[in-house]
Amino acid sequence: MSWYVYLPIAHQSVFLPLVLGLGFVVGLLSGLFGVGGGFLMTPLLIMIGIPPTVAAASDSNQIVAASASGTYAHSRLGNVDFKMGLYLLAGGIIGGTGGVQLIKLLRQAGDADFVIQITYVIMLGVVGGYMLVESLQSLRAAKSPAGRAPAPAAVPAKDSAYNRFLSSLPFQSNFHKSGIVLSPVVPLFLGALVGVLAAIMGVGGGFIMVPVMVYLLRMPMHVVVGTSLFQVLFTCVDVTIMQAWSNHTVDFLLALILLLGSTIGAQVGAKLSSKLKAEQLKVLLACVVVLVMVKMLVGLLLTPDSLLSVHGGH
Amino acid sequence: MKRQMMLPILAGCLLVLAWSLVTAAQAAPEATPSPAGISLDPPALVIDTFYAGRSVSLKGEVADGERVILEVLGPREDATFDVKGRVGPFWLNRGLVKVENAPSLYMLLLPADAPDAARLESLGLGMGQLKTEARVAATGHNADQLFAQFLEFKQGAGLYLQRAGAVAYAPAGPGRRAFSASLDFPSALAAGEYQVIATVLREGAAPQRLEKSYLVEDGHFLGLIKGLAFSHSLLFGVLCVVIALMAGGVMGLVFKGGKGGH
Repeated sequence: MSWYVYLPIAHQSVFLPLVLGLGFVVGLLSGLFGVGGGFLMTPLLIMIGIPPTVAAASDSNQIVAASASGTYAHSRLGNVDFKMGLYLLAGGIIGGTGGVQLIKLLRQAGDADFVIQITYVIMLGVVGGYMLVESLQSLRAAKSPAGRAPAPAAVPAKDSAYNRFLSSLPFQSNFHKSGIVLSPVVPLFLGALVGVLAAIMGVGGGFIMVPVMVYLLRMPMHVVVGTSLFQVLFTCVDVTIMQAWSNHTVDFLLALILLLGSTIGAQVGAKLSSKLKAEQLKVLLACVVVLVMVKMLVGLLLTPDSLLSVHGGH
Repeated sequence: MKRQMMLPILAGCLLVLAWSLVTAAQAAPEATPSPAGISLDPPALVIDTFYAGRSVSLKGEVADGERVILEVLGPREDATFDVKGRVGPFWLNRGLVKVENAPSLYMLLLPADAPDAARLESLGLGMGQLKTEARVAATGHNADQLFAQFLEFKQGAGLYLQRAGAVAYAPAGPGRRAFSASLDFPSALAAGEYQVIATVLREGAAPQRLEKSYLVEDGHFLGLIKGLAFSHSLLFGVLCVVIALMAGGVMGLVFKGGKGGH
């Protein structure tokens, strides 16, 4: 028996342990942070020679397994806010549909790729940088003597303009799992916004959704991870079926190998996430996001080996 | 109780899949001589689940003093590429280029006493010849430069190659000599009909061309997956999702049952 497996849709052999390892690492991130991992896995698959269109579609298929595994693990821990997840999902579907139309218009106008790539780098830089600075400050504060003092039973939320705006919205509803009272209009709107960005950038959007949940919806970090995975699961089910149906680019064998690695990784990630503090999780995720941004930036600045690359993918 | 039953059922499904992978490997058919004077062993290449590139042995016979140059051409295809260009300090995609009617694979195997590059070009051999047959469709770009980039891209992927000293000779009776070469088919290979061409050169005579079709086909399991993916694509997509959900569920149950389960 060979250590290589031939992929029938990619028309390419791959080294089995390497792909299993990639699946495990991305699954680990998925279970830890509640991100799908598409923003990381697709470029890695392209690096090992998988055509971009096949890499993107097959990656979506493996994320279905990793996110199902992660959602299951987190739901047993009580870390999934299904109500919030459904509102975000509904918004994401609306935004994603709009985003697809927007990208068509951008392509017709030309320079769409320029807009996409620069938006991607700026988004990753801003989100990752902010998370890193904010979570490092929180960690330092927790280590200081004042930070170690027992917290008061109830800390009143800062009465900022943003909080006043949230309170003024209609249809206020209690999201028990997240411990917040909020108008469903907010997750619907933010879900739609992330959906537009995800469609423009060609990714699932988990790595944008997580900071949105933490900073704009003020959800607790552990509930954020489980709820994000719940949403990612549905997004990727849709993408897998559409890619297989319309473009014939889902390589089942590639997805199968990746998902064997990623489902194990997702379970390990879920266990680790429950052992780590929220701020530690944020620092780690911020580092991953910043690393991806730096990698992309370097890729944009260095002279490429070849001026041609196979068209398609993220 | 339900969960206890689910685990073996789901594990069984995964085992069936694994079994399919293992049994998909197939024995290659035996070699047969070609009427055109070239024989290939194996006579057809089967891509099985564990295919990772394969050497195919080529043999033939020519008269003493004749030289043989071998070419292998994959099925013609159209490919679309993004072209990178500089925008300020950034290298970004600046348009598309379509390369049409270029072979998916090209191998040029030369003997040690091969003619020089100019002679090869005059014989219509080599990558320069591919340029005359292919079409490069790109607006606002230099087609010659893009085709050179295309060749570099294909060579980098191991799909286009030129190898000197790859055709060996041996005595084969009075006035004859045998030639042989090893055709190293790469791991990135698609099923289809490939062309093997032997150009026989003799001083003072016009070159002769011996052509033979070489079939590369998918094994049963890969063929089944491809058939589903292309002929029943919606069903295939749903199956992919169902299997992914099952795998995720199995892992969830396995980890729950494990020592460190939640």
